[in-house]
Amino acid sequence: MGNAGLQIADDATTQTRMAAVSRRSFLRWTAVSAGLLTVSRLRLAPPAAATSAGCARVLTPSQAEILTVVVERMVYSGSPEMPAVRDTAAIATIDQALLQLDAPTQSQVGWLITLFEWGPPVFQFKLRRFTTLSAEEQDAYLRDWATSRVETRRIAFQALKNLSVLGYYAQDATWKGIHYDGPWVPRPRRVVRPEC
Amino acid sequence: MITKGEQIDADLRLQAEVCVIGTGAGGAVVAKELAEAGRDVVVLEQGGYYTKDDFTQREDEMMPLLYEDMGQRMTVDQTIGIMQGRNVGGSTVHNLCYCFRTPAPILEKWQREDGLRDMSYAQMVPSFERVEQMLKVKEILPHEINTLNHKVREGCEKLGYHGLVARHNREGCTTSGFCLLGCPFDAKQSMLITYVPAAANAGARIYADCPVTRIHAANGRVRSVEGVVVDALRRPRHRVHVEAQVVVLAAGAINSPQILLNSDIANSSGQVGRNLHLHPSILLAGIYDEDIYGYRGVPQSYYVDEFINLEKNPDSGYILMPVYGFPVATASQVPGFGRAHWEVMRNYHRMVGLLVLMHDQSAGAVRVDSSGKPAITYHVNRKEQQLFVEGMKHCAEILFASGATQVMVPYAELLMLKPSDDLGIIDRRGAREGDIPIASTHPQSTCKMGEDPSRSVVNSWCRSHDLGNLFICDMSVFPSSLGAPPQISTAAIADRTAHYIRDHWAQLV
Repeated sequence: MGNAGLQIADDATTQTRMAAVSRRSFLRWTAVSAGLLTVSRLRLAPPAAATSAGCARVLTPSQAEILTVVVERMVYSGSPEMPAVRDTAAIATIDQALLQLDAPTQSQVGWLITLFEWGPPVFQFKLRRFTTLSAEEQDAYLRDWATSRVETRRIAFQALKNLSVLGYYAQDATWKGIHYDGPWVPRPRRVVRPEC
Repeated sequence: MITKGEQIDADLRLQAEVCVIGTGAGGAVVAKELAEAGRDVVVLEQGGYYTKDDFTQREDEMMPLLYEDMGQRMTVDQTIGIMQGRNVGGSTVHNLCYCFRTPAPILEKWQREDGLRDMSYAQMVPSFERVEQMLKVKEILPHEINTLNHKVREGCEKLGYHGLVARHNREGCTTSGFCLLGCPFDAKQSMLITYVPAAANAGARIYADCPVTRIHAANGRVRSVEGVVVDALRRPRHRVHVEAQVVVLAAGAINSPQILLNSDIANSSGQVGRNLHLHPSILLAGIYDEDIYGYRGVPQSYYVDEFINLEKNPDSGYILMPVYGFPVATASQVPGFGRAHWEVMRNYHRMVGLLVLMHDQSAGAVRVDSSGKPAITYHVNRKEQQLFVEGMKHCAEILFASGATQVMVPYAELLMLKPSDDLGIIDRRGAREGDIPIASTHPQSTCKMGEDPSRSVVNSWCRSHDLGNLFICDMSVFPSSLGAPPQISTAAIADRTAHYIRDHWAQLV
C-alpha cells in the first residue's frame, strides 16, 4: 500500500484508522520517529494550549501540547539540575527535526500523536484523553504501550521516546545534569538549518 | 569544482567520459584516480556538501545533515538500525576512523569460493598503500587512547584476552571526540578533505544534492544517468541528466541495489539486493564509580580480536569494540522511560560502551517498495544469536574486570548486572531481534563480485556482467562479510577498479 493508504475519513474509528495504515507503512514512518494524517483534518485534538513550541511548523499547537506532556513523562526532570521540559526548546527541536522528513511522514507523526492522545478509551477503557490522566496513569499508559503484545504499539512507543529524548537531551540546559561538556566549538557558527 | 544543489537554478544536462554516483570511500577514490588520469569526470552525490565550518558538534543539527534518514534507517520490521552517511564524503565523514586492511583469509576465501582473480593480499598491497598514504593512516599513539578505551584494554589484559591498538586516519587530531558528528578541525582524513578535493582539483565536476533515480541502458551498455536536484528539505527542484561512456555506481550497499532495481538493469543473476550482510552489533555499557567521560579523546582506539580467528575460520567470529554515544543517542538506547531511565542517564559520564560486532553469515536483502524506496530485510540466524550471547557475556566480563559496578544490557526490559550476578541470565534472555537493539554501520554484499555471472553481479574488476560500461565500487561488491571495519577495503577495491578502468579505457568505450 502506498501513501494512499493513509487517507483516512474524518468519521473513521480509531481502529479503522489503524487498519487503514498498512503494517509496512506504519513501520516505515516509525523508523524515522514518525506518525499519520493531520490533526486538523481529524478534528480530534484538544483546544490549543500554551506550548513551548512557539515556532512550530510541522506540529500544530495542539499536537505540540500533547507532545509536551509525552516528553514530560518520557524524561525525568525531577532532579534539581534538570530543567522542566516547558522551560526548554524541546518541542521546537523536535519540530525542526520533523521538518526534514518527507511530507507523508510528517503527517503520519500528527496521526500518531493524536492516536496516542485519544487511545486510553481504546487501550485502557478509560474515558479520558492521555493529557488529562494523572501522572501515574500516564506512566501506566506509556508502560502499556511499551510492553504491548502488539508490535506496532511497541514501535510507536519507541518512536515517541526517540522524539522525546531528541528534543530534551539536545538542550544545553540538560547537559550539566548528566555531566556532559557539550560542543567544543563556540557559537555562533554557521548553522545549516533547512527552512520551510 | 564542487557545486551545491542551491547553486543550481535549472535542469542539468551534462556529458562526461565517466559518471560516478556517490562520494564515499568508493566513489571518491574512483573520481580522483580517473580525473587525475585525464578523464572527464562528473560526480553525482545525493547528500549535501558540508565542510568543517558546518560541523557544530550538536546531535540535533548534525544527524539530519550527515546521516541517511537522520540516522534512523531501519529494517522493515524495525528491529535493526542501519547508520549510513548521506553527504559529500559519505560515511567516512562520520565514522570513527578504524583502518583495517582486508584480511588475507577473506581475500583467499573470495578467490576460492567466488573465483576472484588477481586479488590476493599481495596483489592488493599497492592499492592498500596508496589509499593509506592518501588517508595518512597510522597507529594511535599511547597518549591518544582515551579513558574509555583504556578501561576495555585493562579488562582484557586482566582476563588474558587479546586486543590491539587501532590504526586510524587522523592527522593533528585535537582529541575532541566528536568524530561521529563530523570533524570541525579537518583532522579526520575523510574523503571530504582528501580524495574529494583532489578529484575536484584534477577537474572532476562534483554535484551535491543530486540523488540518482535511474540508470538507462540499451544494447548491453549504460547510456545515461537520471536524477534530480533537491533542496535543503530534500524536495526535487530540477532534473539531472548525464550522458557518460562509463558509469561507476558507488552509492553504498543499500542505495546501489536500490538504483539498479529501480532501473531494472544489471540483474540477470537475480542477485542484486541479495546476500546483505550487516556486521550487526549489540552494545552493552558498564557503569563505573569513577568518571570516564567516554566522549572525550580519540574513540575506538583499541579493539578486541580474541574471538575471531579468520585463518582458522573465515566464516565466523566477532570483534569487541569500545564505543560511546552523545546524550541523545545514549538516551534512546537506554531502555525504559521516566525516573528509571534517568537513573541510568545520570551516570552518562561514568559509562563505558562495548559492542559485539558480528562477522555475519546471516543474510538479508534489499528490495524496493512501490514508491521505489529501499525495503531492507535481515534476520540474525540462530547460530549467530548464540554467538551474540557469548559475546555479550564476554563484554560484561571485561567491563567488570576493569571495575564496572554495573553493566547495562539494553533488553526491552532493562537488565542491570552486578559483578556478583550469574551471567547465565544472558543465556536465558538470549539475543533476539526486537528484544534488544541491534545496529549496523557496515551494510555490504548486495551486488557481490564473482566470476560466475549466475551467482554474482560484477566480476573481479567490479565490472557488471550484464553491462560492459557499468562498474560498481562500494561495499556492496564484497562477496561475503568482511569481518573487519570496511573503510580501507572499500577504498582499496575502488583504487584497483579505477586503475583497471584507466588501463583498459579503449576496450571499455
